[in-house]
Amino acid sequence: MKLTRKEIVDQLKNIAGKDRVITDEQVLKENSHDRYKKFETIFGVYTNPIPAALVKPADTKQVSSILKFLNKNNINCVARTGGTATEGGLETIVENSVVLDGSQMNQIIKIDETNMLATAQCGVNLGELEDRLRKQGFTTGHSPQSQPLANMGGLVATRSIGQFSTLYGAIEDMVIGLEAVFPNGEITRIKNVPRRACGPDIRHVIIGNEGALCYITEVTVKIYKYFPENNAFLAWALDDMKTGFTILREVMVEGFRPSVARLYDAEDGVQHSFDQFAEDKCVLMFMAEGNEHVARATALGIAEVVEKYDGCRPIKAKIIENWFNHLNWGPEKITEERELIRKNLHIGFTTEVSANWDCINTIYENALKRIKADFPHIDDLTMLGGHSSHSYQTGTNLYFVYDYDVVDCKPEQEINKYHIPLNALIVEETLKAGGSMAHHHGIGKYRTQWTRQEHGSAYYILKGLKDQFDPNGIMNTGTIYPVEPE
Amino acid sequence: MKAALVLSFDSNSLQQQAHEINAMLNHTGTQFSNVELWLFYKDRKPEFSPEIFCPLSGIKLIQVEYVHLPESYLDLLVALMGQCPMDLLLFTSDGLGQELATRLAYRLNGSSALKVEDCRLIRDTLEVIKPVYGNNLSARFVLKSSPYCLSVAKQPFHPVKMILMELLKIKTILLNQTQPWWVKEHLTILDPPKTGLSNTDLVLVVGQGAGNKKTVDVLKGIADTIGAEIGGSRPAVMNAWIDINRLIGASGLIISPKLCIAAGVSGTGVFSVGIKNSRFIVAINIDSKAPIFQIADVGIVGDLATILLELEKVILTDKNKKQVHHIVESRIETQ
Amino acid sequence: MKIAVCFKIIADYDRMSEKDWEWDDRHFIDISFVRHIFNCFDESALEMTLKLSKQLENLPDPCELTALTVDDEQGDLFLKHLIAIGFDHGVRIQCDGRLDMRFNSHGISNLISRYIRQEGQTLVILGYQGGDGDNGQTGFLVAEHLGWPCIREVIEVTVAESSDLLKVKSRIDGATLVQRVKLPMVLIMGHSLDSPYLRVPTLKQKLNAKKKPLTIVSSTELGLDNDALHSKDKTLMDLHRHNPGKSCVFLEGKTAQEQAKKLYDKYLKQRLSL
Ligand SMILES: Cc1cc2nc3c(=O)[nH]c(=O)nc-3n(C[C@H](O)[C@H](O)[C@H](O)COP(=O)(O)OP(=O)(O)OC[C@H]3O[C@@H](n4cnc5c(N)ncnc54)[C@H](O)[C@@H]3O)c2cc1C
Ligand SMILES: Cc1cc2nc3c(=O)[nH]c(=O)nc-3n(C[C@H](O)[C@H](O)[C@H](O)COP(=O)(O)OP(=O)(O)OC[C@H]3O[C@@H](n4cnc5c(N)ncnc54)[C@H](O)[C@@H]3O)c2cc1C
Repeated sequence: MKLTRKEIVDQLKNIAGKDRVITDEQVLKENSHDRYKKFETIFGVYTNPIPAALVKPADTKQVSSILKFLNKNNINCVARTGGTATEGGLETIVENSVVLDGSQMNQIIKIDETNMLATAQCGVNLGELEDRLRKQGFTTGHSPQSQPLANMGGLVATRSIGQFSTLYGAIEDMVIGLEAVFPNGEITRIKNVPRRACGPDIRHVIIGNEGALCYITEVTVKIYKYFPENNAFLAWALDDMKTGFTILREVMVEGFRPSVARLYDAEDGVQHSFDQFAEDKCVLMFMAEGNEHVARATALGIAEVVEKYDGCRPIKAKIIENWFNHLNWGPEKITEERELIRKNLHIGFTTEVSANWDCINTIYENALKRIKADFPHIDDLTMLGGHSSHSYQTGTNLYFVYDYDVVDCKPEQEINKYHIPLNALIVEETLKAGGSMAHHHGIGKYRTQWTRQEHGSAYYILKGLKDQFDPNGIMNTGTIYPVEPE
Repeated sequence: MKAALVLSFDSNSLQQQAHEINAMLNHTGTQFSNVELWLFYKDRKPEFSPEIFCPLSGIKLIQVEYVHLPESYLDLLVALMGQCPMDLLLFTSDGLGQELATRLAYRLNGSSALKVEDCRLIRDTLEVIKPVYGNNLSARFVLKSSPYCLSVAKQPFHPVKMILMELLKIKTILLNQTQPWWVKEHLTILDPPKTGLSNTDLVLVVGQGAGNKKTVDVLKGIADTIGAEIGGSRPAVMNAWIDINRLIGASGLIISPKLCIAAGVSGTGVFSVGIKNSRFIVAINIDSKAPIFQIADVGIVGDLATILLELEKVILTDKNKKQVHHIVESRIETQ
Repeated sequence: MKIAVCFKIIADYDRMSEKDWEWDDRHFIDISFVRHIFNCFDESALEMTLKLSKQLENLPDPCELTALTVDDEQGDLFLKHLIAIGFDHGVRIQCDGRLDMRFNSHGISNLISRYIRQEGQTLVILGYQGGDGDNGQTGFLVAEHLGWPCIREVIEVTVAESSDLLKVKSRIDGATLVQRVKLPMVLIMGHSLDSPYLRVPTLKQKLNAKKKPLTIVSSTELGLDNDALHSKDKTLMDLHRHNPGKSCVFLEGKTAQEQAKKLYDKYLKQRLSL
C-alpha cells in the first residue's frame, strides 16, 4: 500500500533528521519545476503535483538510506543540486515525489596537484570550485554559462558543456572518477585512473543519467594549468551561416583547438549587441588560450584559415573580450530576467541540437523555415535565431534561441501555446536530417517522445540500463525515458 | 566678487541644503566682497534662517506665489538680478536648484553647471569640478561667462542649525507675479514622513542580488532586529522591492552612516557615490570581483541572505534584549 | 498631437573595468568596444510615451511620435528599434564629428529645439540625466530655447479630458505634484516605476521597421554651423579618476556562520554599541 504524505515525511525525518526534511509549502512549490516552466511559476502558478518533501542529505550514507526507503515504497525521487535545469528534469510529475537535494553535500574534498585531480561532493558549486582552483593557478576548464549557479552533481548528470569545450572538452571528457548511489542503496565508487581497458567505460552509465538511474554523490575531474594572460580573441563579421560552418569545420579539421569557437547568426547576435558592431551580419569568433606558444600558434593559424574566405571583416578583439567577460549568468541576471518577464510578458527559451558537418546548415535553415511556416503564433515572436558554440572534428552544435510575447493566454497555457510546439519543430527537423535532438541540456521531460527515435536500435541498451538499475522506476519518472502506458 | 546663496525657506530639506552650500563655500577658497542670502518663502515671512558659515552682507526675503512652478522663481530671479547683479549664484542640489541654475544662466547669458563638488576663482574665470561618465570620472571645467549659476553637489546628511536673522540686514522683496497660463489645476500630495535613512548610524543597502521581493522582506526583518534602516539600489527600487524614497546613489540619497552594509549590489559609479562617505563599509557579494569591494572596508564573498541571517543570529545571541535596545536608542539620540 | 521624445544612448559603464578608464589628449575615452544602451531615464520616457499614445489612439487627434537623438551613425540602430515598437519617425541630428558635444547641453538643446520648432511638435519628453557628460541640463535648456514651460522629475503622464490637456505627476521637494496642464510643454522624466523598461518588437515589426527610412538632419540644415554650436558655456580642462584607496579585507570562513561571527566580533560590535 502507498504511504501517505505524512508517513513519507515522518520516515524521512527518521532517516535524515528533522532539520534536513523541508515541508514548507512555498519551498516545495519552487522545487516542483525548473526553468522549462519559468513563465507560469513567475506568476505564482504551479501545475505539477507538489512534492511530499525536500530532503537535504548530509552524506552518501544518508543518500543510500533514503533511496532504499523510496525504492522499497515505490516513491518517485527527483534528484537536484543547483536547480538550473532547463528541460523539465526537475519537474515532480508524480504525486508525493521526494526531491533529493544534494546542495548541502558541498565540500571540496581534495585538490591533487600531482595527479591534476579535483574531487568534490555533488553540491559543490562549480564557480566556487573554479575560484579555489584559480587561486592555485589551475582551472577545471569547465565553464557553462550557469557556472555561478550550477553544482557538480547536476553538471555531471546532464552531460553539461562549457564555453571552452573546444579545447577542454565537455564534462564527460573531464570526469575521471565518481561515486554514485543506486535506488537499492548500493554505493558504487569508480576509481581515478588515467585510462584503462577493463571492460566498457562504466562512467558513462552515470554521466548524463539525469537522475533517472542513480544519484551522483561525488565527482573527480581533471584540472589544467590556467594561463589567462595568454588569451587571444579573434572575430569576424560575415554574411551567412553556411560560410561560417565551412570555416568552423576547416579550423577544426586543420587540427586547431581554440577554447572558444562560436558562430552567431544576425538575429541571435542582436541579443548580444553584436549588431552595434556588425549590423545584419553573422559573427564568427574564437579564443585561443593555454600555454603561450600554443595560444599564439592557434591564433595565427585560425586567422590564416579565416582570411582565405572572402567577405570576412575583422571585428575588434576588445569588443569580443568585453562581451565574453559578461556572458556568465549569475543570480542577478535570473532576477533581471524574471522582472522583465513579469513586467513585459515577454520570454525566451532555447533548444540545443547537434549534427555532423554535412547536415548542420540544412538543420539550421530547415528549422527556421519550418517555424516560420508552421508555427501558428509566429507574429508573437520577437526573436528567432541561433548560434553554434561547440565544435568537434566531425560536426558542431546548434543552439536555437526564440523569444516571444505571451499573448492572450493564461500563465499555465504558455508552454502549450509556445514553448512545446517550437521545441518540437526544431527537434523534428533535426532528427529528420540525421542530427541529435539534445546537445547539452539533457532530454529532460519534454523530449522523451523522441528518445526511441534518437537512439534507434540502440534504445535496447538504454532501456536495459533502466531495467537493470531502476527496476521499480522510482528515479525521476518521465525523464530520458517516456512514461509508458500501464 | 559678489555671490548670492539661493534657498527656499519652505523646503523640507532647508537645513541640509544650507549645509551643502556651506560645504561649497568652504571649498572655494575665494574671498567674496559680498555674500547675500536669497531666501524664497510663500506665506509666512521667516524670522529664522539656516546658519551660513560666512559673513552675510545682506538677506533678501523673496515672496513667491506659485511655489510649485520653477518659472515663477525664474521671473523673480531675473528681476532681482536686474536690481542687484551678482557674479555667482549658488543653488541647492535638488531638482529645483538644478533647474533654476540652468535656466537662469541661460536667461542672463551666464554659465552654469550642476552637481558641482568644488569651485575656485582663478584669475577672472571660475573653475568647477563635477562628476561625468556616470560618476566614474570627475571633470574640471572653466566656466566662461558670469553670472555663474551653480547647483551644488549633494552631501552626506549634516543639517545646519536655524538661527535668528539679523533684522538690519533683511530686505523684503515683493514683486508682481503673473499666473501661469498652462496650469489648469494642481494638487500636492505630501510624502509620508521622511525615512530615517539619511541620519542613522546603521544602514543595510540591498541590490538586485537579493533576487526577489520575499528575500527583501526577510532582509527588512533583519534590518529591524539589528536596528538598521534599509536602502536600495536602482533595480531594487524599480522592482518595487524597496520604496523609491529609499533609493541610494547619484539619483537618490547620499548617506554617510557609521556603518553601511551593502548586500548584493555590484557597486557601479552612480551607486557607490551614495555610500562612499560612510565611515565603515561592509560588502556582501557572491562575486569576489564585484566593484563594490573596491570601496568596502570589509568584504564577504557569499550569499547575502545566508550571511545576514547568520549575522542576525550572532547579534541576537550575543546581545541581550536590553543591549539591542541600546543601539536603537543611541540612534535616536543622534537624530 | 505631435510628440517628440529625445534620447541619448550611452556606453554600458557597468561593463567597463578599471583599466578601460583611460583618455587621450582630447580627453576622449575609448568606449567603442562596449555595448551601448538607452540611458535608463530615456528608456522610461520612451516607454511612457508609447503608453500615452495608446491612450490617445481613440481621440480625434491621434499621436504622431518622433524619436530624436543627436548622435552619429551608432544612433541609427536604436532609432530603428524605436520605429519597430511604434514610433512614427526616427530622427537623428548629426553634428560635425570634430565637435565635442559631450558637455555641450547648450548646443544639443539648440539643435533639438530648432528641429521641434520646424516640425511643430507640441510636447517634448526627455530623460532626466545621463550621458557621458552627466550634464542634466538638456531638458531645461530645450524649454528655454522654445520658451515653453517645463515639468521636471515626471513620474506619470496621462491624458486629461481632451488631447491638449495632460495630467502630469511629478516629484517636487517632499511631495508629489499632480497638475493638469496645457501644451506646449517640455517634460523631463524622473524615476518611473510604471514604465521602467522598453517593450520588445516582434519579428514582423522589426522587418517592417527595416523598410522605413530614418531622417538624418545635419546641424547646418538646422542653421547652426560649428561656430554657433561651439560651447560658450564651459571648457573642459581635465579628467580625473578617483582611486578609493581602500583595500578591502575579505573575511574567510568555512561556513556563513563563521564569517558572520568574525564580522560581528571584529568589526561590528564596537561600532554598534557606541
Ligand atoms: C542561465 C543558464 C545557463 C546555462 N548554460 C549552460 C551551459 O552553458 N552549458 C550547459 O551544459 N548547460 C547550461 N545550462 C543548463 C544547466 O545549468 C546545466 O544543465 C547544469 O548542468 C545543471 O546543474 P544543476 O546543478 O543546476 O542541476 P539541477 O538543475 O539541480 O539538475 C539537473 C538535472 O540533473 C539531475 N541531477 C541533479 N543532481 C543530481 C545528482 N546528484 N545525481 C543525479 N542526478 C542529478 C536532476 O534531476 C536534473 O534532471 C544553463 C542553465 C541556465 C539556467
Ligand atoms: C543616469 C543614471 C543614473 C543612475 N542612478 C542610479 C542611482 O542613483 N542608484 C543606483 O543604484 N543605480 C543607479 N543607476 C543604475 C546603475 O547604473 C546600475 O544599473 C545599478 O546601480 C545596479 O544595481 P545593483 O548593483 O543592485 O544590480 P546589479 O548590477 O545587477 O548587481 C547585483 C549584484 O548582486 C550580486 N549578487 C547576486 N546574487 C547574490 C547573492 N545571492 N548574494 C550576494 N550577492 C549577490 C551580483 O554578484 C552583483 O554584483 C543609474 C543609471 C543611470 C544610467
